[in-house]
Formats: sequence, structure tokens, C-alpha cells
Amino acid sequence: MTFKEAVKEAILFEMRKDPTVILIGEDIGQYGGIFQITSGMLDEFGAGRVIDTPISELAIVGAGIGSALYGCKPIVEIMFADFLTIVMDQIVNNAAKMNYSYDENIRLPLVIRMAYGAGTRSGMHHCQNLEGWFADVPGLKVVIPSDAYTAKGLLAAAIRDPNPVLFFEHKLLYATRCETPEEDYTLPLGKARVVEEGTDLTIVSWGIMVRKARQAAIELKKQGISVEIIDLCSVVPFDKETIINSVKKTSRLLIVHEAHASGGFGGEISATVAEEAIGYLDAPIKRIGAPFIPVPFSPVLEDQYIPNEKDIVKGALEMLSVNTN
Amino acid sequence: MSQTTLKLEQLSLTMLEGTLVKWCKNQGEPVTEGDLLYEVETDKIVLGIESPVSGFLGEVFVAEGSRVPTGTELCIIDTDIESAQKKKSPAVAISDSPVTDLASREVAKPVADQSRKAIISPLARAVAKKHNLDFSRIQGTGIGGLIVKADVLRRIEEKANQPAAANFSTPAVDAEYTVIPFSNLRKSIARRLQASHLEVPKVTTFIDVNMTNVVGCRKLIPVSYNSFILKAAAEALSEYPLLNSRLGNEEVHVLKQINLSVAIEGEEGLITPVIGAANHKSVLDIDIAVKDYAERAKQKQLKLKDMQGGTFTVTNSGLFGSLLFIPLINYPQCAILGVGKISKEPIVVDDKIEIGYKMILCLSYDHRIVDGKYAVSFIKAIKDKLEQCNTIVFLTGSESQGRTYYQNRT
Amino acid sequence: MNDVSTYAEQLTDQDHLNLYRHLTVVRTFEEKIREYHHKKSPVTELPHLSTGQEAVSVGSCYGLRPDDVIIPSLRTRGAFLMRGVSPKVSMAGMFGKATGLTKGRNTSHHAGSMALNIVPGSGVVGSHLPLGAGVALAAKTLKKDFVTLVYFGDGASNRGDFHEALNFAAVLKLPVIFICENNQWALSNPVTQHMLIKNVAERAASYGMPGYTIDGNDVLEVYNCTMKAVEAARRGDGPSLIECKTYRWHAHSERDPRDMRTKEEIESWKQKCPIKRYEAFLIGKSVSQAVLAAIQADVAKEIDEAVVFSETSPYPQVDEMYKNVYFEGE
Repeated sequence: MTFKEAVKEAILFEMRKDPTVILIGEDIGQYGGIFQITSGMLDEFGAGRVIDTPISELAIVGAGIGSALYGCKPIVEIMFADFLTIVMDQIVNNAAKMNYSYDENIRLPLVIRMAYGAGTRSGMHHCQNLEGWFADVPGLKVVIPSDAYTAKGLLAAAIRDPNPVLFFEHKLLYATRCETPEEDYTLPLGKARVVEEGTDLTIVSWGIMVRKARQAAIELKKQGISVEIIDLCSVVPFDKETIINSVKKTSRLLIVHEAHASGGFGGEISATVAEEAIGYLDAPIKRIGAPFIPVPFSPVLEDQYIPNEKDIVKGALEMLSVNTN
Repeated sequence: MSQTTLKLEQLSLTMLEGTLVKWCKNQGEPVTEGDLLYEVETDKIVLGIESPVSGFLGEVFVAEGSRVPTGTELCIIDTDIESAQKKKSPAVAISDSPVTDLASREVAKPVADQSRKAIISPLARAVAKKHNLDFSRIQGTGIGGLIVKADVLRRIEEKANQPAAANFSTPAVDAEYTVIPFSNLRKSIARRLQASHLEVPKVTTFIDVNMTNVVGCRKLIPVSYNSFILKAAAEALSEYPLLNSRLGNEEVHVLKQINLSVAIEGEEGLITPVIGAANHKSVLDIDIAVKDYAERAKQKQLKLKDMQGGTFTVTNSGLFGSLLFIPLINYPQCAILGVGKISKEPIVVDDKIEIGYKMILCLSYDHRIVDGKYAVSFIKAIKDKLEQCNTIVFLTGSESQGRTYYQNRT
Repeated sequence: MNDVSTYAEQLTDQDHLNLYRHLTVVRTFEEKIREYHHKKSPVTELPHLSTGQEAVSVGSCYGLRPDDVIIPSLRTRGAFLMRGVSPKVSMAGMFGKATGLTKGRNTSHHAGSMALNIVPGSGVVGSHLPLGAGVALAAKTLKKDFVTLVYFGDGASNRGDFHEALNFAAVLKLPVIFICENNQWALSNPVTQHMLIKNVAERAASYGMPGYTIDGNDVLEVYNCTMKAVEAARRGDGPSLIECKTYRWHAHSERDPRDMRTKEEIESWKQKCPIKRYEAFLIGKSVSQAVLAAIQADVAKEIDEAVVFSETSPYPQVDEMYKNVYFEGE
């Protein structure tokens, strides 16, 4: 099934199973959502559980938090991840710190779903990769699936998780397909997946970059280079154990993300691996990400901006001391 | 110019020419200081010659199999890596006028800084450490010249495959053995001793010394026995200068300074740091200098200049218990003094037997330069000085120094 | 006192004494903290005193059910005390002790309690208003009839969160009551300067919900109006905005370098002290001075005990700060 279908299925499973699951967002009801993920749900569950809202992100997220405190499991939809900027106060100061501010240890089963990422010619305010911002906010979980299979399993887990979860869906992944089980299943939050095993180089990636890494690995294999690919799945908390075990095997680490190379989450992973496993490294840790500029609009520019398979191959070859000139 | 021209060195005093048996590097190949560069055959042996510099092997002037006189230019080593790669030499043209047109001024590209600390990946460092490999001169192939594991492994393999410096056959014994590879120092020692042994017609003469007075003096100045001997030898050399010399081409070069090479057991082998102008130094000075060398040798802080310029060597096996021995001359010096152990012995004094201290000195000398009578007179001079060891001048180096010394002590 | 209608009339004599005691507790607590802070040693949690505003929290909370939810603002000490946080726990929390709510993880005035249905406010002024809409959304969705009271000041009514929350609550007809403690001043900015309208309650009309402007220093009027709004919300009539005109006797915080208000203004409002006025009312109803004095003495003793409790309570262990970051478990 497609990534989009997988997301929809996960939501439907939970909505049907658990009457406390509700949807809050803009244009999600009669319109069915701008990506048509929630189409049909208003009819099935009614306006009491599929709530169309005014353009009020503060109220939307705040309502998500409040209702999650008192028995609901809200799945809040923020139309574009870029709008996280509007609701930073609600997420960082309220959602993330609610439990800490309570006398008791409390649940806040809130999911905030967002469409993100570059490549759709939507301009600088609809294309950003902001997952790294939340690396420094204790109390949240940040999840980024790479395909339909991970989308369905991770979203199901996120909805059931008693902590606030930010769930990022790359727009260009919506139409992609892969083998996805029919039944209801979850994938654990905070655990990475080794999607390909290898011996010469570890690539850590997430979101849409995982498939690009896989393409690059095919190219590298032709040159006799065996690449191990780790799909991070969760950015917060991130599975450093899986990464370090892989680095111990391959002695080289390449991190690939669509966020800016400088300031993106790759920096945190690099520092962690350098701190805890430097003796195993046979090359400096390398990050591949976007250049430090806003996402440009014109297709020719945007395509240059987004890291691609060729960049990954070149980066890998450099790390393996292969002349790339 | 960032280039070094290598010439065929005169490896022994009789060597007039040599055959370039084999080039160990190809033209254009990177060369690290210490790498085996070529093999040369002299009258007697084939020697592997190490490159004195790092860089790239440039032009080669002498083909394999050619026999050439010593001093012939053999090859060029490009030590400026960038220019070697671009196959052009850097020009330094600085205009005379103070306001220079930067575009027209070619600035010399920086020479590869050979004293720069090697950059090595943590993994490669661990592998190098495990194999006890000095990685500081490996050329790295990683990003920015980083030395990576593959580079270390390559070097280990290279070293394992290097040809033996000396060409003698080992008996074919079918037995199990442990391999202990030669360190660079060991290789150097082996080469020099081989040359010494083969080239120099040496004679060794022995003399016994009554050390009773030295033992008494030592109670006055708590220095090591060896320092007394060094001082005595230095004094004697100033009286018998032929032994402080070097053989030229049918001529003797009598060296003006008396610089004693003092044999010290280092961790990897015998090293001989030099005490310059030893005849002008007091026993105390000499003692301090020797102890300092010993300490620095332990800390591996000896420098090249500490080891250069020796004219005569003193080597003490008596410390370890040897009675007497036949020392090999520290080529290309003329002679070497071996010191045996000091032992309590019955000695004859005024026709009476007393308990005293005796020691045997051993002098090996190059008979081409010096004959027996001269050599024995020299060694007897050392004996006399040691046996008469209660002279202020002898102890302190000069009369004025001596007065000052005693004034400070009392 | 103003003419009071149905709800207030139904209060018994005991209720009145209860109300008086509640008012006295809040007043005595705040004044004790003030005295301690300046005369003994600074209280760790910088006091933002509500002296003079007691009637708002007491009057609005008195009629609530245990399952109703409140979200206090930084100055609504009275609401905590009304909902069941004892003075000693509230005070110990100000000292950062392990015996306060949240065991030292948060201040006393931003602490939350599931047991007492107090949702934590935020250190960011006004950010808690959308939370109120959310809690009310849960009530509506799960078809429960508890209501949510959200407290905030005149200054907060200028924040985006206020406007979004009110509009959202009105559009979805949520059972939430927004209670504005209009004490005439934001930090150093008087209402006459930070907005052009005369009453915050006028804004309710922008969102299509009822808005009431009342005398916030008349505890019975506050009680009455709140109960009206609460019952309406419980019925499903949606949200209201109640603006309580009141005044704080002291500066915004006990560390303000300046107080922009004139002595005259402060004095004139002190004349309208809610407790004095209620005393007069009670005496008018033949409650004796002795009874009032007994209540005062009893409250004073309770607050003194709270001080001792706060001083002698232990600080939290270090491992406390690692708790409650995530909810572990199912």
C-alpha cells in the first residue's frame, strides 16, 4: 500500500478500536484533509470525534494538550511542519513539560502529525525539516517514518504512547509504496532498524533519505563497497546503541538527512558517536544535508538544494579514500 | 629548491666504488625518511641504503647493475610534494620594489612540513600500537592525508618484506624459531659493526690498573668510577693524539677536539652519546654529563647532536661483570677503550701483599694508524693517571677551577 | 453589597462563615509570605501576591464540584487553596521543598494535581488559555458534565492565545469559563494604556459568547456570576467570559524595582477591600465580632504552622528531578 494509505489505516484502526481517539485539525473533516488522509472519517465517526477547526494553531495544539490530559487521545494535524514555529510555546512549554509540572506521573497521549519536506516547489515556508529542533526538548518524542511499513507501525505506536509525539510525514513519500502487513501492528518508538547489512560503511538516515541511501548503496556495491543502512525511525529518543554497534563493525559513519548539514540532527549523532566510540573510527564522521540556506522555490534550485544519491555516493567514496576526481 | 640529490656514499674507508644492485622505489613513488631506497654492493657486502628524507623519488641517474665511483649522483628526491605532483619546481621571484604586484610574484609553496605530527585515525592508531609500529612517517591515504588502517597494514607488510641489509647465508636448520625483527637502531648498529669488523685491522692490548687510589678519591667526590676513567682517557689522548684520529686516503686526520663517545645501554641497544672536549672537563662535569645522557636515553629524549662528533669511544663492560674483552672499534674512529670490572685483589706494595682494587683496561686500535709501542704507552698513561689519582688538577680540570672547587667544598 | 440573586441567596450561614474563612486564609497566607520574604529571608519562589484579589478566586471556586477543573494564572493562589491544596503544601512548594506539589520540580504557582483537578499554568503569560479549551473539549467529547475554569489577568487578554482560545471554545461550544482578574494593571502598564476598550468582557462579543463585567471585590457577586456561567456550561450552552474588576495591593512581584501606581490609587482600592466589605456584610447579618476573631485566630495558627512546616520540610533528593519527564509504562 502507499505511505498515505498506511497512515490512514493506522488512524482508522485506532479510531475504531478506541472511542477516546479524536482528530483535531484544519480542513480534516468534510474536506478530508489537504492530503486526503482523513477523507471519510467525518462520516464514519461524526463531528464529535473529527473536529474541523478555525485557523488557530495555538488553540488546536492547546486543545490537543488539554483534551489529552482529561481522557482523550487526540491526533492533532498541523498542516505543514513549518507551522511548528507558531506552536513552539504550546509544544515546548506546555506539552513537553506537563508531566514534569504535575504532582503525579501523568499521561499525555497526544500525537501531532505534520506533512514536511522539500521537493514539492512549495517554497521556503512549506518545505522545512525541523525535527532537529526538538532534540533539545525533554519530554517529547519525535518520529519520522521512511516508508509505508514504518508509517503504519510507528503511527500506531505513537497513538498508543502516553507521551506527546511529533510525527513527521514527508510529502514526497505519500505516494510511495512498499509491502505493508494488513493487520494491526506497532513498531517500537526509540528503536532504529538496520534495513541493510554491510561491512565497509554505516549510513544513518531517516525519512525520505533512507530510500536515497539505498539507491546510493546499490551504486556503491558496484564498486565493491558494502554499506550498512540504519533507518533511525525515531529522532527523539534516538537509538544510539544500534548506531554504535554498527560503527564498531564498519568503522565509518555517514549521516544523511534533508535538514541542513549544519545544525541538523546529524550533529547530535556525530557528537554522541565521537564521544562513545571514537576508537573504532577509521575516518572522520561525515554528514550530508542541505546547504545552509532557506529552501528555494524554483525547481532547478530546489533540486540542487536537496541532497541526492550522487551526493551520498560521493561522500561515501571520500570516506573510503577513493579518489572521486 | 625543495630537492635533495643523493650521492653514492663512501661506506667504508677503502670503498672507492659500488654497484647499484637494485632500486627499491620507482620513479614518482612516495618515499618516507627511513624507507629502503636502493641496495649497493661494495667490495665485500651488499648494503640496503635508507632514504634520509621524505618526498617523492624524482630523477634517477644510475641504472641497476651499474658500477659507479663513490660520490656519484644517484637520484633526486623531491621534498616539495606539491611541485613533485605537478612536475614543476616552485620559483621564488621577489621583486625589488617594495610595492609588489602580487600577481606577478610567485610565492614558494610551503614545503611539506616533515616535523608535523602525523594525523592518524583512532582505529589505525590502535592497530599501529598493537604492532609496535612508528606511524609518524607513513603517508596517509585518507581524507586530508589521514593515516587509515589500510595504510598501517600496508606499512607492516612492507617492513616484513624488506631485504636483509647484510648478505650472508644462514644455515638451513629445520627448526622452529621466533622472529624478532630488527629495529632501526639495531640495523644501524649491525651495519656499522659489520663494516668495522671487516675493514679495520685491529689489535687489542690489555693493561691492569691499581684502582685503590681511585676508590679513595671517590670517597671525596661521589662520582661514578667510569667518570674517572673517562677523564683519564681524555687526558691521555691529549698526550697521544694519534689515537684521536681518523684514517683518510693514505693519510691520518688527527682530530683537534677530544670528544668521548660514552657507550650507554639504551633500551634497544648500545648508544654512544658524546661528551665534547672531555679533556677540558672535570671528573665532576663528566659525571654530570653522563648521568644526564643516561636519564635522557631512558626518556627517549636524546637528540642527534648528542650522538655526533665522537672521536674516541669508552665502553664499560666491567659494570656487568666482565673481566676483560676485545671491543670492536666504533668505526670510523681509530681506537676504543674497553673497561673491565673493578675487583678486590691482593696487590704487591713495597714487597708486601695488601688488599687493593684492580681493573683491566682493554684498548683496541687501528694498526694502520698506530703501532704497538704508541698504543701501549697511551694505555699506560691512562693507568698512571688513575693510579696517581689525587691530583687536584686532574680531579677538577684546572688549577684555578680546582681551588674554587675546594674552596666551595670546605 | 450589590443585589444578589438566586445562587448567593441559597448560601447558608455556614457557607458564609466558610467563605469568610477562605478569604481570610488567602489574605493571611499572602501577607505572611510577604512578611517572611522581606523580614526573614527571601522566599525561593518569587512571590506574586494576590492580596486584595481574594474574592475572585474564593467566590468563583466555592460552588465548584470536585470533578470540575481549574487552570490558575500566576496570581491565583486562592484557587489552589480553594480546591484543596493545604496552605502548608502550597507554602512548602514556594520554598522548593520536597513536600510541595511536584516535589520541587516546579514552582507552587505553576504546579498541577490530577487528584485536585488543577492543570498547571505556564510561566508564559496567557499560554494556558487554549489548554482550558482543550480540557473542556474532553468533557464534551466524552460526554461528561464537568466544567473548566481558566484564570488570567487583563494583560493576558492581549495575547494571541486568548483570542484563539476564546474563538475556538465559542465555535465548538465548549464548557469552559474564562475568568479575567482585571486588576487594572499588567506589570507596569495600566489597562488604560494597554487596550482601548473599557472592559475586557467586551471582547466576548467578538467571539459570540456572553461576557460579564462584575465587581471582583464582592465575593457574593463573583460567586453568583460564576455559578450562572458554570450552570450554563454544564447545560451545554458553551463558554463565557467573566471579568472581575479588582486590584492588587502590592507590586507585580516582590522584587519589582518600581511600582508605577500612585499611593492614592492603591489607598482608594484598599478602601474597597473585599474582606472588610464581607465582614461588614456578615456583621449586618448578625455574625459576632468574636466569631470572626476566632476564625482569624484559627487561620493565623494554620498559616504559622504552614511556615514551620515549610521551613522544616526537607529539600528533594537529586533523583527527583529525573522523574516525570516521560510517562513510563502502559
